[in-house]
Amino acid sequence: MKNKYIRTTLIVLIWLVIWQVLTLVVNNSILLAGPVDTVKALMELGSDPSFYLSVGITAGKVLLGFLIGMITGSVLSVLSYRFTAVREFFSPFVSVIKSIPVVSFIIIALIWAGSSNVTIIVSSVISFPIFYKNLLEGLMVTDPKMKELAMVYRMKTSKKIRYIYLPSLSSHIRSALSLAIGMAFRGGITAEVVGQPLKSIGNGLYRSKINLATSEMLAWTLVAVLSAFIIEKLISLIAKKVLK
Amino acid sequence: MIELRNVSKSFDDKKVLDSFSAVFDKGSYLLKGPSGIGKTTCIRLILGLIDPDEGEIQRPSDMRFAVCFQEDRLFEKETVLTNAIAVNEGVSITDATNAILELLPSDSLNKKAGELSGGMKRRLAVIRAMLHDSDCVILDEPFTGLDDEARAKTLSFIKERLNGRLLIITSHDERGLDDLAVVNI
Repeated sequence: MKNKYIRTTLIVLIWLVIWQVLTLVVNNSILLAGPVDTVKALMELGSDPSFYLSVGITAGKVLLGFLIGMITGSVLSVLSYRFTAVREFFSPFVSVIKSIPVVSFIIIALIWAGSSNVTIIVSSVISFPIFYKNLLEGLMVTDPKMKELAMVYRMKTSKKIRYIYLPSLSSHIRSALSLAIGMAFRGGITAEVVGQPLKSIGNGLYRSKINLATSEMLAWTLVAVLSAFIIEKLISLIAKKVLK
Repeated sequence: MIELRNVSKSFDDKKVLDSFSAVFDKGSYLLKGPSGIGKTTCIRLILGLIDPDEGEIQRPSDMRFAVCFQEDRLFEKETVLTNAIAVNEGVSITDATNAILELLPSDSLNKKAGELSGGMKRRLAVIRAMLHDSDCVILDEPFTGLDDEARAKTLSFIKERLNGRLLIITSHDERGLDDLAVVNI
């Protein structure tokens, strides 16, 4: 375990060195800012209280959109599992949603709901089909023999969920959580770059681009990656506790 | 009372049951016949899990069943105790524990069902069925994987806990089942 951490740290350090060397070779801070400049930019951003507000607002909106997508995707997957007509009705809709480019959603969301809500809408639209597909697949492969057992023993719905469906769904739920939160973050921040809501990571990225401040842009990117990583870990931890 | 009248059932054009009739009134029955003759199909028909192609099955609509399927069908990630009570609403932990300790060692109580040996899983499936508040107990090959001693203990456990319920057993091994009425398929 300890060796693994040392190995990972070494690999990260090597990549940082490669990045710094490349920066020195390119020797143009607009084309490529190095890790040292990025950390400096990050510290500068961190000295401004509005930076934390921007990160908090973006993370909150992405999380809210993710939760909306998770709840609607889960509820509709259960209904689709239970009623064939619902499944047939939603099947083309989900397939279309999955293949529509994110930027199209962003534009539609901007027209319909304005820039302040674009992050929530895009994050939920991205999360919804991931939960729907994963959970429906998990429900469809639930062991029919265990469903027979539940029927013969007249198990209560809560017990069926606890002892039969959740164990069968747990791997599907975990993979949906991990995939959806990462994609919701990417989509949500892309929406912010396009929509320009004030006090947001996307807005920070856009302003860096306008000012040709590459190190600041990379600092914002680092913040986005770290936020997604921390939230994903927190969600995985909760899922692990709930799903055992 | 359960009555099967001229029941036929086919799977993929293969006739498993052909115009089979039987009556299971109060008492204990051994459903007998060579392997593959349709004993499990007969049980699934009685339970209403499948419908007959022809014929009729009569049983009270409110009849409650307790079943030990041919496969153990346990909640593998749950403990032995949880398995015993998960499908048995009214059974107290004390009663479930006592029943378990009659057939399984005490250190198995908090073990996960998935960690048990094949024979222990089988006994747990029997315990779960016998604990269930039911009108009819159906045990499909309940002694599979049990040695002679475990088999004898399991059989006396079943008989002690039957409490006048209708019992239908399928078993290749008829030892100790002489007092059961035989229904040949």
